[in-house]
Amino acid sequence: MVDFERIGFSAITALERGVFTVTDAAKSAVMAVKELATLKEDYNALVVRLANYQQMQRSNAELRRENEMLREQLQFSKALDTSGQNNRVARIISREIDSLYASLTIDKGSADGITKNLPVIAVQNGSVGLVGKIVSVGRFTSRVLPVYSTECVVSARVQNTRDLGLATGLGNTEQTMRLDYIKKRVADQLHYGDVIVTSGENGNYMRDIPIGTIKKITVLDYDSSLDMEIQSAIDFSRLETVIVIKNETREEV
Amino acid sequence: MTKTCIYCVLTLLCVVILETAILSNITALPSVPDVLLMCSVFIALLNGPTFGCAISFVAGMMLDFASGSPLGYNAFIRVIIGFAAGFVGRAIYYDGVFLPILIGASSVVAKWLIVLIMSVLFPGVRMIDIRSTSFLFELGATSLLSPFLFAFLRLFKTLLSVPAPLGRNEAGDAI
Repeated sequence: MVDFERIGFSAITALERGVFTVTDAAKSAVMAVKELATLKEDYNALVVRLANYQQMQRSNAELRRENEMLREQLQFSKALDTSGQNNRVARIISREIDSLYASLTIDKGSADGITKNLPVIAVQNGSVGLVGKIVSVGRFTSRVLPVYSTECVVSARVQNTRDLGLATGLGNTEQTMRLDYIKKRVADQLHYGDVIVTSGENGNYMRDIPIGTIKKITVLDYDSSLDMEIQSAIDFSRLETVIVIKNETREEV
Repeated sequence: MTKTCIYCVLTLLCVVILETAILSNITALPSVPDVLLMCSVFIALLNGPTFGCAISFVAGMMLDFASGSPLGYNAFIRVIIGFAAGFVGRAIYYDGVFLPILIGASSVVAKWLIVLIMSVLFPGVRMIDIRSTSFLFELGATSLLSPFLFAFLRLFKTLLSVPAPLGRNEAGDAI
């Protein structure tokens, strides 16, 4: 049977990809000219900054902490590089055009080995976060259901206490996410800023990928569970590049 | 007729690509102005309800393919708005500034109303929050863009309107 939706999606998004490539190239060219114009200015500023940096004395404790942090990031990068040779780095070419049905379109499709339900993550400001999962695949493009969508439900755990719940989006990037089914009795052990990670139990996502942090905890008299809000680990308004994790590497990562 | 259809579809395709590949990536905007809706409304105003319905359906389907909404969702909404626009197209004068703004605002409100009715009839359909920033921005931006868009599309009026049959004027009356 002919899948009209897939054919239509492939055709329209292939055009989108072409337009995105052209506009992106034009944007890069304009930016390059602008950069050249400011290059000399930046160079002078950098020379001054370099002199300042050379004079700065950094404490051993600070350096050690920074070293540990970098080591963690390096380990994650290595894990992605070695075990995830088939992982695909993709660029976002379009986003939702209405607030009702959240979606992101990326520039990798079945031609790059992308299949439905693969998890999508991103590294932003040096930390990893869950972006969503692939819901529709075209030849050269795919559609991602982002975690902030109301249709996206992720089995999640509180990283410290290991309590299990379900994280659901509230529809748009401005709003936070909800975490349901966390029992009231653990309320004392939870704190604002605690990290919520994927549990890996529903099979779609690998374990321990940060979803976000606890933003608000409300104890409701009529409910046996806590009403919790999560701040997403990813700033979707600044997200440009994502990583699609292939099936064979998910367990290892 | 065939040429007009091709020109209209190509125009709508360009607008879909503009909306999805360029405007949607401007994350500073709370929502994307519905330029596609105004294009299909303009074509419907020019050509009447039947052509308006058909072209709005095509526009809606393109949007359904490009966005994450269920297949047919946008097509259904736009067919109704296209029919309404085509129906009143012969009776109203849509040049100038004020009327295009009014038509733009009415189209976005009509879209909200149709989604509201759909959400009552089908629980799976989500309702648009009329007080949300994204809706108010879409309403304002689409309304304000309409006069410019109509003025631009009027430049291609001969390409986008179905020629009247021989022996009849544009309104279909015998000469």
